[in-house]
Amino acid sequence: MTTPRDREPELRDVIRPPVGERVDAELSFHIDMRTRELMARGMSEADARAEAIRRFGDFDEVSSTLVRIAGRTEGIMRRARFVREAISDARVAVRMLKRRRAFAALAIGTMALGIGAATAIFSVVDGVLMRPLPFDKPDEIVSVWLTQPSLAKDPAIAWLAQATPVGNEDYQALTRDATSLRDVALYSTGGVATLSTDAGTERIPVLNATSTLLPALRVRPQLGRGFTRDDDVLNGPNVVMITWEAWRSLYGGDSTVIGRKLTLDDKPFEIIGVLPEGLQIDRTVDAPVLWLPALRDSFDIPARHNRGYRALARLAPGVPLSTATAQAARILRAVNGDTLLGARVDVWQRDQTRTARGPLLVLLGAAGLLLLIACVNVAVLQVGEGAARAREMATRAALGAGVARLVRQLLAESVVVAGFGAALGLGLSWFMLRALVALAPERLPGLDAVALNGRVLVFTMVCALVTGVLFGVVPALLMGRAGATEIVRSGAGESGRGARSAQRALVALQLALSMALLVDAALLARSLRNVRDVDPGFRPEGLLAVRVSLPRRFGDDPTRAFTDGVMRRLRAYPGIEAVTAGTHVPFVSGSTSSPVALDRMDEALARANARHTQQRYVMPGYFEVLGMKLLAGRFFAPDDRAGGELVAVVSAAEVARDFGGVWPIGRQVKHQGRWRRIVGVVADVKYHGLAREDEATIYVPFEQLPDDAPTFVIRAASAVTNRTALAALLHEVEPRATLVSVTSVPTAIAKSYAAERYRTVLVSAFGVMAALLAVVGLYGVSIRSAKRRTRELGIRLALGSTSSMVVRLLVNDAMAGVAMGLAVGIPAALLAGRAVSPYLFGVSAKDPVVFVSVAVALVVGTTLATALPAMRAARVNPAVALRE
Amino acid sequence: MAVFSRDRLRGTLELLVLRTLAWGPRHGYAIARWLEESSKEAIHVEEGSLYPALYRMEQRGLVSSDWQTSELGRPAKFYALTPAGRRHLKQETANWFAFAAAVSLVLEPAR
Repeated sequence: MTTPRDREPELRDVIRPPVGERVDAELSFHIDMRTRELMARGMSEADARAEAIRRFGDFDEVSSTLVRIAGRTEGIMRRARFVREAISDARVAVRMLKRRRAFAALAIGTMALGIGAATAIFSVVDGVLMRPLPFDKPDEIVSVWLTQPSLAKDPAIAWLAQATPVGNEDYQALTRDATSLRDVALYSTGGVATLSTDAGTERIPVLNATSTLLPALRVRPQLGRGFTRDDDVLNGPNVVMITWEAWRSLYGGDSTVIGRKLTLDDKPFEIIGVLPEGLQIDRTVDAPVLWLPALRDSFDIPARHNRGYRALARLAPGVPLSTATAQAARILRAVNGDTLLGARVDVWQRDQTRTARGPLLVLLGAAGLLLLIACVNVAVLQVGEGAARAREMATRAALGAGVARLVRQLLAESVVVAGFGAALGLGLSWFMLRALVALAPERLPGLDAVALNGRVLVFTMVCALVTGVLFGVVPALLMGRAGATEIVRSGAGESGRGARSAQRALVALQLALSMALLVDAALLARSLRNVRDVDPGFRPEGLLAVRVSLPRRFGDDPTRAFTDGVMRRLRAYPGIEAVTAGTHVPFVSGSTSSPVALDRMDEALARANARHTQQRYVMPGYFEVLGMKLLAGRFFAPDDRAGGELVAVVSAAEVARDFGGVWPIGRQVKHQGRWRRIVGVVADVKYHGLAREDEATIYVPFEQLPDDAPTFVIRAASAVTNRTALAALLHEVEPRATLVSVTSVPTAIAKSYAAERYRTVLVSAFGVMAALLAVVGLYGVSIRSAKRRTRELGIRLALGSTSSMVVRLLVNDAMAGVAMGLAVGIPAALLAGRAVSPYLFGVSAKDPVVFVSVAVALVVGTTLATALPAMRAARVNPAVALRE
Repeated sequence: MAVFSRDRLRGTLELLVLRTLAWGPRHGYAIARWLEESSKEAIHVEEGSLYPALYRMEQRGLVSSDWQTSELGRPAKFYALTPAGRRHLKQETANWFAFAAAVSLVLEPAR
């Protein structure tokens, strides 16, 4: 509600005395009136005044109370006035936009695209990097890793350099001595166990945790109790905790489940507790069904140096990470007797998202660039509109609206456009987000929880406000510089040289930004193609990896019979061309490595030089079935079995690293404590990723060193992925065998670069959108400028210019801006290229081919965008043009 | 529903002030005088508490104020009812009578 008085606040404020004086005036008026009344009743003036003051009470206290209240009231009124005026500005802005529907639709659509993309990416960043973990004081929870900087130069185990898991003795030492860390806890997620129920046996993921894990997270069991110190000791009791989800699905949420038994790996385990709903420790792996106490097995005893655990702890209050790190490093060095060791203590959440952070921030940057381009695009539109609105502005200026008022109105319009754009963009981002999450190749921790929440809404609103001011400021500045008289004088005619050069500069800026984004997209695309084109060193087409689990360890004779039986059956299976098996299948299995020592090397030197070598235990036919190339010597033969001569085949990278590139046929290597004669050299194969360096590898006959269950490898003409048939076949040979997975190797290879592809697709999509915005924006500008120059063009045509000369004139004019854009664009693109350079493979961030082709594409696009309107303008009839 | 509350005392003063202003804009002293006269001097407003009440009501938008020339020929601050104040007056008057009736019901037999 506005009363006329509210509309002129500035004037009232100017003539108003300060609050204190007003309060005093009011109160002394009261005293005076009372005095007069009392005098009228016959008191003397002095008595009357004294009585009036007495009756009033504590004058000073009342006065200061009033000043306080009045001050607050004024603040409230000022804010209310501001809101009222903003609403009125917005209302006028909406009315103005309604009159210019085409402009409004274009501007709002552009902003929706920019804000939508930025919002979608931001919600992913928010969910993955920023949302606090659902634990009490999550910032106190830290992860603790061993670091071994010396390993960084050994590619086989370089990942250990910054993140070596810890073992039992490290745990004991940290628990005992680390005063800066509380509730040190270990867990490992890799475990599986065979759960036997009435319905059959099932391989389920389990989590091994020390008794300190729940206290460290400040989580209490939903039912029953957690593990105690007596549970996580060598040969501890058979106890298990079940997850809330397993409790519901296996026991229907029956609360009498505590104390019941379940059968794990053929042994009875007592259920002691149920975990709370939704508890997730490692968000990147399959959720475990059961928790078992860690440190129960003999390989965990401190003397074994087994390091298979991730460590968590609570940072003691007030202790900085650096102090905790230094202390942990000292303790770990002492307990391991190794002065080269270090420690890394980091906030758990940051540690979990360590690898995801960089790529996500690149995506956020790309989305931000797109948003900026959208802003510039709308600014170009607005400057163009300014010419058409000159008459309106002149009228308003003539009617007495101050420049400040007009500038404010223009800004209000921009913010309204941005506001509508944000509303629409928010809707758009909902769809984009679903696509982003659905297409995401890797399990990003927290991706499942990504949603448009309050923080994201605030982000969108800030985006709208900032972008609104950003693209509104140029037209507003142009207006402000002009001054009221000039606005009136210039009237409906030319909108001024300033507007046109501002427009040209904005178009150039937009091209420059688009170029940066397109160069990023092109670099990533080239890099992706390079990755895809890498020769993996074997023939993946038609290869299937079949993983199987047995309740017993291999090495037992029955399981060997099982392996032979399965291989025989598979060979007879229709459609299967060849069958082999091994512990490791490229792109499917994990990897293991051991130090290898060479002959002709004394023992001390051997220990000092021992470097980790990847190890693969393979069945006969492994090399042939995978299609690997023999470089020297021979593949394994059927005679290379248990009891025969110990032999090995090594990879080319191993030869290059340890044998100076000389084929070492006949030389001896010591692997896992036993000397083996090298009988062959094979070409390198890619194992985890096409872009990875080749790793030194040793191949050993499976039968001479039977390890865990081998993975069967099938080469099939057609895709024989019929799981049911394969499971039935296994079951026939061995009823207790379970089929774990059937993986197509080509699919696994594609998956290995899915993250790169995802990034590339997203950045390319942003780049293409940006380029389209730039070109369409330029097209609009060109149409307008051709129209403005109709009369001039008419004269030129009438005086004998050909239409091609006119087209050239117009295009040349626009190309000055394009040239400027490219000139600025190249350094911008160099910067943008540097941002993605860590993610490039086989292409330099300054790749000239990329830069030139992006520039050429932009020149072609912009030439078309200016030439088409110019051609239309050149067709104008001079007679008609002159008459206008 | 009339409920006896601690706010009722302050609310009563507000109610009386609003009622006073229902006749038209007045300055603070006139409000105080009018209260004394119309209650036949039974209600004696503590003058020091009248003004904070007025200021708070202004903050809540129940009254508005304006400096006008008074009967003495010097400027005085005049208070007037706003539409919100008028609504509040109507509502609170009804509440007051309901409250008074409820209290009377309880006290009746003791008379």
